[in-house]
Amino acid sequence: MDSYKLLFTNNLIAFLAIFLASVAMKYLSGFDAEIGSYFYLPIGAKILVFLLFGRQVLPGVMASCIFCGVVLFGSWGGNFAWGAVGALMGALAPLISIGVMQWFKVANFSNLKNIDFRHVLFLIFFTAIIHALSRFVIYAKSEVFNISPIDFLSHYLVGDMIGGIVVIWTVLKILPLFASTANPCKN
Amino acid sequence: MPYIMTSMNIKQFISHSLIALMMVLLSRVLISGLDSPNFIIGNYLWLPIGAAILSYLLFGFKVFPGVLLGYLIAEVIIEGSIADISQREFLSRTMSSLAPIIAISIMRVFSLSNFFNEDKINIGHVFFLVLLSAVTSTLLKTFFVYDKAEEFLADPVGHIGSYLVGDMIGGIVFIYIGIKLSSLMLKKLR
Repeated sequence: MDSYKLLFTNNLIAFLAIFLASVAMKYLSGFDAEIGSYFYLPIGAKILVFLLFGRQVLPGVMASCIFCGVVLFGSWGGNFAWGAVGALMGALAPLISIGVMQWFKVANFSNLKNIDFRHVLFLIFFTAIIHALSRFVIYAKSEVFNISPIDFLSHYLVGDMIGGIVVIWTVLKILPLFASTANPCKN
Repeated sequence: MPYIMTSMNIKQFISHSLIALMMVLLSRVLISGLDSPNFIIGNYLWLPIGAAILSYLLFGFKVFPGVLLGYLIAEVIIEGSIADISQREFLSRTMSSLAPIIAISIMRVFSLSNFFNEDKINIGHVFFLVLLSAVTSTLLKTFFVYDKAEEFLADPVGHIGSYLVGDMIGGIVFIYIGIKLSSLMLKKLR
């Protein structure tokens, strides 16, 4: 029973983290499915929750991606079916990147205490590439989106990299600083 | 003494560059029969990327001119004359030669791998390097070589898909065969 509670809580945290990141992105830089965003914060939230909780939060991540697409981005401009497929690919991209990196033994993300920050940085770049390429293939093949290949790829690649770095840097480096200054007795 | 060292270095540089050149040249000529008539669709068995990766891993980045020259000489042989090589092809081959250097540098900068464990090649890391080189090469060509080509804009997914898959399969096949052959030769020599 406790394990189900924990699973539900973790999925809920993942859902909320991605929702908050999507809201922040919408109000900071806006989002258009055909162009992307130069500040794609949700990718950072997705990477973070997968690193923290593992693949068990995939349902929460997928649900949040589709929920945000419908509520915040107008069902991807009215193209719900293909938009949802793209969003699901966006949910899977960090998991695929982590899986590939661990399968080839170039990085190990199972022990977060001894994690090398450079590996996390590379994971962001690798996820950005997989995310941008997979979404590009899905949207281009759908023929319902009007996309320019170079603009689409460059926006998604750069936006994912910036968004990922901003979220993970904020959570790993800046939030602990605030926590330590707000609570100096603990130091 | 310094003179001898310099002459040794130059000899070594020339021999390493020649080996890299021959590997790229032979692997490119070998797969020329599988080339698509449409230049936007890549070859699905792009062995030269494996040759370039192996050259850089064995001899270092200094063999870049050898790799590039290997690509260009192969194109001259395949096309029939220098005049038939377009500026776009020259740029494309330059990107193909640069991509493994960028991929190796990225993996070293992010401390992902040094590719050798106690003088033994780490095959898993090298295969990951092939994937990264394939992605780097495809993106470089997409952004800097074919970005305005009408054929590319007509079928961008076909272009990106064929280049990615071709580079990955070709790179893995070349490196796998290269490592197997060299270990067999080493066993026979012992």
